[in-house]
Amino acid sequence: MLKSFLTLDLPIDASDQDIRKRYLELVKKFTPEQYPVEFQKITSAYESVKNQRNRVKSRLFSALRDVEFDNTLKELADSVKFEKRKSGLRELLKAIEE
Amino acid sequence: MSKKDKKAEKKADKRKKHNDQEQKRLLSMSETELIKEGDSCFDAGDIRDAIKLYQIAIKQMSSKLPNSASSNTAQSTKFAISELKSKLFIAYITRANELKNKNMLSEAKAMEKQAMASIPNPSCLDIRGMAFFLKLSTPEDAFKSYNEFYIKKSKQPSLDLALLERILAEILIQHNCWEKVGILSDELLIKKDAPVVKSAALFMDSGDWDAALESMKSISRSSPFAHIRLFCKAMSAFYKDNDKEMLKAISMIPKDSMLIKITDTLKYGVNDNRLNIKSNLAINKSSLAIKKCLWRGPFDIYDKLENIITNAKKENYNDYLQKNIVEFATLLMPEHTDSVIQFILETLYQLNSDKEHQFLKMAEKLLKKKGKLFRLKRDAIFTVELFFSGLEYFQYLEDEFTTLEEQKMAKSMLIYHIASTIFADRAYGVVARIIKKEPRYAMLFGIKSKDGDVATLEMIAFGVNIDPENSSLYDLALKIPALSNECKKVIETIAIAKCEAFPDDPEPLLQIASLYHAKNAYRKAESALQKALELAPHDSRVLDLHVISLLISADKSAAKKKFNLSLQDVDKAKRFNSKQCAILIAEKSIFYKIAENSQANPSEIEEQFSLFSLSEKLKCYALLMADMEYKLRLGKFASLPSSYRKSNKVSKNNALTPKSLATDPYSVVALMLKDNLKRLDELTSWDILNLLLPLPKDWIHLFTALDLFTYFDLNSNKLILKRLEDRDFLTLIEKNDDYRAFNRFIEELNNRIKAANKGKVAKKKNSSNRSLNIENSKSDNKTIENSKPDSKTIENSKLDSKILEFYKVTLKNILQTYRISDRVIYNEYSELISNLDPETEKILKDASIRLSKKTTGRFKDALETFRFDILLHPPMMPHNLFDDEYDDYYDDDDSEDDDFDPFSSKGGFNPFALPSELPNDFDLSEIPPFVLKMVQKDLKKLLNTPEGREIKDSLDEAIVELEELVDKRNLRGKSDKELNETRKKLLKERDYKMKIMMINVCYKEEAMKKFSKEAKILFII
Repeated sequence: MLKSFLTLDLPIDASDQDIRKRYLELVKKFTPEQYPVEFQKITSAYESVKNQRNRVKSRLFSALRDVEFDNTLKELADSVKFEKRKSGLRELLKAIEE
Repeated sequence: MSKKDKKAEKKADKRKKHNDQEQKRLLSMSETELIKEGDSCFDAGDIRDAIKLYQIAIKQMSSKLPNSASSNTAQSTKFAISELKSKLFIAYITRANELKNKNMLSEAKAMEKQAMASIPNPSCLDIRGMAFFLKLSTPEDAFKSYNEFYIKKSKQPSLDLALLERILAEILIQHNCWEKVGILSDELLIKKDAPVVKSAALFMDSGDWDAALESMKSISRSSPFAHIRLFCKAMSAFYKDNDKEMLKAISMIPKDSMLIKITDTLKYGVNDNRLNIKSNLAINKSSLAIKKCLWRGPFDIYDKLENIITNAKKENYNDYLQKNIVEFATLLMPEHTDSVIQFILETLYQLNSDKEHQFLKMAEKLLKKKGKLFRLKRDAIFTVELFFSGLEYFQYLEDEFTTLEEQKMAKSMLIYHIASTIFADRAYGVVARIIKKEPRYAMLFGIKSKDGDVATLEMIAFGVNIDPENSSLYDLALKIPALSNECKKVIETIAIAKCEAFPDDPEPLLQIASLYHAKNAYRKAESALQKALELAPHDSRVLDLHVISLLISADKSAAKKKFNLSLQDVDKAKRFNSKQCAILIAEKSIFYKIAENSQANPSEIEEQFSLFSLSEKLKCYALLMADMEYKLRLGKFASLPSSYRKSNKVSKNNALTPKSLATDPYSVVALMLKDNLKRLDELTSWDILNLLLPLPKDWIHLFTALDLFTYFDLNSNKLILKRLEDRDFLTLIEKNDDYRAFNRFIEELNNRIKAANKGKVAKKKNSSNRSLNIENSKSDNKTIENSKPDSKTIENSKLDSKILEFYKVTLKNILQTYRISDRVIYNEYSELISNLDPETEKILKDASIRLSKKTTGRFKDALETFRFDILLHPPMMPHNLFDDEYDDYYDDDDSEDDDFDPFSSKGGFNPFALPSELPNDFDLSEIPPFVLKMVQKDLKKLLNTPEGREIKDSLDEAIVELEELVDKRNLRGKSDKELNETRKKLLKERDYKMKIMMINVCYKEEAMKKFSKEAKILFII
């Protein structure tokens, strides 16, 4: 579930409406024709967290999952978000020197 | 001196000698030879040697310079030296670049210094040399030298100075030294465009790439600043997430530009969905400084992850691991760190650490207040302490879930988790004991009953009350066998709650209608069906059940000999046009006429069924026989002398006479069925499968059993099974739970295995290509009928004999588990499933899971998990039903149990303390009557004491289990004779023998009250 929230870039206490809104934003941007892989990821993440009942169940019984712990944690790390940062020429040129 | 040292010294001497010789050789060479060899070395990439040769050549040439510098010879020598120095400069720079690539930065720097020092006059350099020179010079030197170079070389029209001016443009940008451009010639483009770029640079520095691009509009493609404009375009596209535009701009920027490092880094974001991933950014550590300028994010997340994984694997639950977990969680979701930490800990718990205590300590430290919650949750979900911890955890859910809505959902889900585990383990006795021991749990969950099964249902009803939308709870309640009136009442309450919670769904109404039918509450069922019909007037399930409801009513009228009312109901049923029930309606129409007149008219029957296919007709005859056999014979509707049946039983060698046909309706129908069975070769494998599969579940309200096997007499009509394809045959085995057919199945499997082993390629006329996985197809006949294959000529795909063998062994063991040991079973399977190809293994695994539903106990577990080695381990009993306390759970005193003594266990006699494997010939009658009486007397006393309550619970549990067995083996509604035959077999089955004995010895009176009619015949001795 955590991975799904990271994929959708939402806080874990997001409401049904927030999740739906975000999902629609993302699928509009990442259409299945242009971004099939991303679309699938978004949809699968959405399906797993779209309703409150699923989210509660997941939180309650996540410990029941029979998973490879290292893969699960790696998936989380892979889901982290990097945002673009505004930077100027001088800063970039300085970074080249480093 | 050691031998090794001597060898090294010898080697050094040899090398020195070689160097000396080489030095001598070089010194003996002429300048021309040296330069020529130097050029060859340079071209071959041997830059170090080229440098050396050029250096010697310069030295030699300088030493030969004539004293008079003005002489022609001196001038030409000086020119030659200058040219050679240019070559040496290039060689130095090339070497410096080599060193940079090897990451020998200080050495490269030194080499560049040497290069600069070797140049007396840059204007002598060629374009390539000048480019290097400009890059290494100070801005002032660069512009001054270029100016001289330009003045000197500008007269050469073919010379392209674009590269050099581009370098100067980058110097201006990099050093912000726009005034330097003043010394250049006015005609140069760099000088013309500099003011525009100077003002654009202000925007670039502030990160306003759009404005910079806009202000550089006038910069032409031939301008030395053109690539700076392209860079602005790339940056602008980068921030607009326009990868295509960005890559296009980047592709046009020269590869030797100082900006190329930045543009290469920009590419890390390409093909990334900008949702997440970008893991490449964090995994690849190169150009980290530039990445950090362009992106904001957890660049060191993989370092933390690696630390967590490494330490967790080593079970180092120390401060360092804790620190990394916290940091990892913070990097992932800084605003929800606690939740992430909890998730990580729950994931790490999968490791099954030996140092569990330390792990839990770490968890409590990291989760602070929620530490206890973690421990309870773990116990509730993972351990044998499910009941106590689960119930305890229930009270803490309010800490874990903040909103009231979530708390309700979580509570009902936890109740489902506990109740479904109770149901799966049939641990009703444990529930009864817990609520007796801890009455607060009974209060907490609204439990009033002291009986385990009722208490479980009350717990479910409580969950439904908290969260009416938890549909899993309703489904679970409907699975629990309602053996007592109390159970039925609670189930009804739950079913009504479901109807209220899902008012727009006809399904709960159908379920409640079915419940009412089972209770013979026809009016209530009809009312529920009417509501369902209003909700879904075209839903086939609603229509089918409505038809069944009308036919139940028709049966009731017929029982009262009001056949006109029965036929009215049949007419009403016809109006629903139910495809699935068409044969049922036809059968009932004719059945009521036969019942009314006590005679059967073959032509009328034939006409009634004339519209059906042969397989449907056969089914109609079988249904008719089933109705006639049970309803007429029992004398409920009309009289049918039982002597007819006995004397005229249809068998292979005993054909009916025409005389009997005229008087005996049962025989008339039986003969018609027999005649039609002669046409078996007209049926496809699919038709036969459809014929032999059990009837739809809801038809149980109309017939006493769902199997029609007996009417087709598989033992005599061997062709029936033979005509089934392998796949259809296995489907039939999986779907059929009538144990009486198993031996015939085994026989047929043997024939098929023999044929498969002989390699017979038998092609059958009728075949299908359906999948073996019948679980994925709908279970009822309707679906099977509707998906009839189009072609009759598809080649039959014969199955591997291993698959057939697996089914045979499994059926055999289901029938024989009471006779053979677990080790024998294990040996059979271990041989069978060794060296399987992955495809066959997958098929067998799936089949094993499906077949597991036909059996119980550890054999069921082995089939379910496809792990037959578990049969070799002692059985696991998570809850010792008869221990007063759980405290003794870990006591290692098993060895004392070797001596069997049912009277010696704590708390008195424990009937289940009898050895698990009674001798096969053990019989209750073997116990001397006086001993039996004595035991019974003692037990009666014991069961009425508080100590005896646990034994009573266990005996109640055994009653529940035996009732379930009646359902599982389709024994409900069977004739007394059939039940008595089955009883003999059951008494030989190890799993049930002991329970039946104990109920008869200790609990007979109570069992007589609680058992159903069938159970009484089967289990009361």
